[in-house]
Amino acid sequence: MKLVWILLLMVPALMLATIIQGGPGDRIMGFAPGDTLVDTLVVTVRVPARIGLFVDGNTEFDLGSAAVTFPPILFPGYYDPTLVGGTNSDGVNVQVFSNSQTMTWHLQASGSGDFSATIGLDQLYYAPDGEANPVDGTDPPGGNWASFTTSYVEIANGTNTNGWQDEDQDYVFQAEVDDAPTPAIGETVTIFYRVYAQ
Amino acid sequence: MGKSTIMLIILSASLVLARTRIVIIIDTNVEFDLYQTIYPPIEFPSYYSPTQASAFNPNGISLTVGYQRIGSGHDVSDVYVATRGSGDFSSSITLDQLYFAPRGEPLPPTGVDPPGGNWRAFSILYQEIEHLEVNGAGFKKFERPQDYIFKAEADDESGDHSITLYYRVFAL
Repeated sequence: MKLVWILLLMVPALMLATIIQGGPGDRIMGFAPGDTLVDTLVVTVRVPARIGLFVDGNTEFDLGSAAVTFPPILFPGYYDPTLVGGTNSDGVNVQVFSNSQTMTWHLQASGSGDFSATIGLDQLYYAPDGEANPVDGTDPPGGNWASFTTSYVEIANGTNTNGWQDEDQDYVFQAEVDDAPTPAIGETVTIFYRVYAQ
Repeated sequence: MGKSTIMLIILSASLVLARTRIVIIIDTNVEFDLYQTIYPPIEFPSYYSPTQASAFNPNGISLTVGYQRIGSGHDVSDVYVATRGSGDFSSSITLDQLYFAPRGEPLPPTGVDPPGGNWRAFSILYQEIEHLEVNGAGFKKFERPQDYIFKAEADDESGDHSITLYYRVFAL
């Protein structure tokens, strides 16, 4: 009689489903039908808080090009780049990245110095991509055009960029009446872009 | 009472003696530490292999499943292996950015979405990995290493985020 009761208790226990769990390194065993084995592991993703800057590329204003009318009828005259390094035909490609949820990123630009004794750095203007060209004879050019300086000037800022955010910049060169001819290879300045977050 | 006892003994004996032992072993947790990689990528989405994984499978885990028939008169014919995830990593990093495939699947190229090949995104519902037919005597072991990739998306927030993966084995 005792055995009957033991068996009566055993049969349902054997028939009922049991879930046996474990983790990495465990050898989990059970019997079928009835048991279900569930092994677990933890997957961790560590995403760094990062800022990024992409600039492409060098830009040239060749006023001696056959496609350019120089001197202009009216000074100052404004000229688009005749050669660009990237895909923005009016200037440079700039992209900013920030995945910080809390900090604000700042994009700034500056120039290294004057082109020459007669051609100042402030004759080079920048504006967000798509800005209409200034009208010859107007000074300053107006609109969103801003001249480069040797000090960093803020161009844009924001929070999380949600990937690489386009901040392409158009350039115009302002030709003035006192611009002395340059050597054949031209006069060059270096433009700096910087990004930081705080 | 005598007949009932005998029937119960036979039933219990058949259950005890004619059973199928099932086994599962996973060897390690997995980590994608993007601090150790080039991040952010040039283009999104971009795919990353684990930076910390199995000693036997550097791109994921070692998954071993086995069975052994004990006794005779079996009615278990199939072993099922399935997996699922616990939920999203964070509000901006979802569970379906984690993919699995049998070991050896190539890393998808950047910018491709979905990754293609045999890569399957994890979900909170179990997805079958393997369906093994139970036959023969003795312990049968099946090595089924799994590769993982993490798909980095443009809106992924920074920080450390973890989920749990479940591997389920049962036999019918």
